[in-house]
Amino acid sequence: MANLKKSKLIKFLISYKLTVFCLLWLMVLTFWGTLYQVENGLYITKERMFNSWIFMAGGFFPVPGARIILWLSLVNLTAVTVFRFRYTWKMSGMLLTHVGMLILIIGSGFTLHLAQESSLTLKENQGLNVSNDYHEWELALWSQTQKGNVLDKEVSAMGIKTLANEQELRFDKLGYELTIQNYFSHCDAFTKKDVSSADKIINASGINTLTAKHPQPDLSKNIPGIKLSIRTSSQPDNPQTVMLYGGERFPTSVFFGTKKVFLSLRRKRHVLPITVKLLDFKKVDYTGTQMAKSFESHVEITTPSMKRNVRISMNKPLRYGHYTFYQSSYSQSNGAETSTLSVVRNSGRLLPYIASLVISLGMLIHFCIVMIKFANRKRAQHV
Amino acid sequence: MLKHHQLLYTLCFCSLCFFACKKDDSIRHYQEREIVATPKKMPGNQRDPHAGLSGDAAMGRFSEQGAAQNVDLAWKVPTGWKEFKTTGMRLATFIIPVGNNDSVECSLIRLQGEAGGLSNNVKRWLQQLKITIPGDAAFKTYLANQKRFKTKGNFEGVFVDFTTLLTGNLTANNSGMISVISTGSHTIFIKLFGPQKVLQQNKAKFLSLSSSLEVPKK
Repeated sequence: MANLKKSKLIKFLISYKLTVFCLLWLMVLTFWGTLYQVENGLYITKERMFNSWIFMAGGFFPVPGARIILWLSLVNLTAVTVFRFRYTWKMSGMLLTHVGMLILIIGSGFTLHLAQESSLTLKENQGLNVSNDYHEWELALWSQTQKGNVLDKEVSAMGIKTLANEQELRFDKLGYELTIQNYFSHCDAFTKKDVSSADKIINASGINTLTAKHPQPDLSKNIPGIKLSIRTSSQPDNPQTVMLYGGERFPTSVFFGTKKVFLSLRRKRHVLPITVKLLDFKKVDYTGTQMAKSFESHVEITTPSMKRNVRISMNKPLRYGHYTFYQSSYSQSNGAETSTLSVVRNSGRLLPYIASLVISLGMLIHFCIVMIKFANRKRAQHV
Repeated sequence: MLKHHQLLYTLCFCSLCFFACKKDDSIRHYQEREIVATPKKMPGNQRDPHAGLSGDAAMGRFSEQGAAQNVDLAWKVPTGWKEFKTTGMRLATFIIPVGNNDSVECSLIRLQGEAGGLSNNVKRWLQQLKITIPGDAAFKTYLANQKRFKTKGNFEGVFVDFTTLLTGNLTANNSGMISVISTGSHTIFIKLFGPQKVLQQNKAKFLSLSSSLEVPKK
């Protein structure tokens, strides 16, 4: 242990200089990021400065991103806790404070890797048990059954990041095989008259041509497109050509005899543990204006065991397990009201609170220890 | 018992393993449940015939209704305007350069039937443009005073000019002019929104485009 402490690496890892550098650089990044997002938007700023290890300032000068700095801070704090501390009662407050800070950094790692942000847009009287991802897309196939006003879809879906031309996909559960003919990460869609009639393309919106566009750095602005052939596993010699575009509002349906399958290229769906139904949406304006003073959604949530009504307003989210539903947007047109809820799933959402408590407790203990020490010294001087 | 440095290495290794894990794109299965909304009943023809066409064009450009239609109309593109073929209900988009690398967009849309009626549509456009809707009597007079015309194909049209309702800032991006043309089975909307000054400069060209609509000769 003593030898290890003498090693240059450990000396570097437990140095105060490293701590100060990390804290200062995080401060710089926060300030820089605040200015940067004004022109470039939140997503690009987050990806470039906070989710990256290293990024190029001005396009040519490499500087460390928040990810590497947070890792360095984590290692620095851990090393200090392990190698620098004397494990005595007198140091217990400081130790607790450091443990609290460790929990805080680990919590941010949890949030970065495990938190899931999505949105849920509902018309009045509509209910859903899935939310839409903001950035990621999926290629989804499903068969559906409707009982009354409840539509149940048996969905098989996959992300499109790894799709490539000529790729074969087997959706065994539904019994379909797909061959990707053309995949575009960002494209425009057209209906052209001069497309050969021999090349019969199925699409709900009449699209028969996709043209590639240069992908945007902000992934949410990219609209993908796919041309694929689909066949049933039982009749592989009877393929049908389908074109899917991310901007379509309606799925494309394909018939194989009496068997019907729906295909869609859509925002990735996240399955929620509850079904949320919008009962009513209310918006109150400031008098004499069209500016929203407040808006709220009255929803009915259905879990496997119960059903209850909840009101979600701007500062009063609904919390259910690891999920939080925030009121984020709305639209009103021609008497139809639509409410949009932000859905955040964060398993580590309690960690910052726990960390803050531990840090406060540590500081309190340390303060008490110093106070007692000071009082004893004073008493000794008097004696 | 683990020694201090072993604890540190173990912690670092576990963290690296945890954070190095990549989410894969394998096929996943899930059940999606939707409670289908029962639409609120709207009186008569108040349903928005343009729903989905404004705003994010990519999301609204295609619809089931648009897919069923074929282009069988012809028009003459005014000089200086650039035409882009589109799909669905939007039959064409015209880009009008206005200098400084800027431009405004004019669209040609076809919908079935009356598509909501002139009065309801005009009120909705006024709301979109944040122009105060005149009282009932004034509104009727305003509509009655709009220019009526016949196109080259003998279709009847109304030219609704919102630029006359505005005063003050002529560069504000808050005005519009629209031709509503009936072909019998369909209604054609030619819409141009943008700064009032630009619209006024292009008014003659807009009218010439509106008047040029006809069924193409075979």
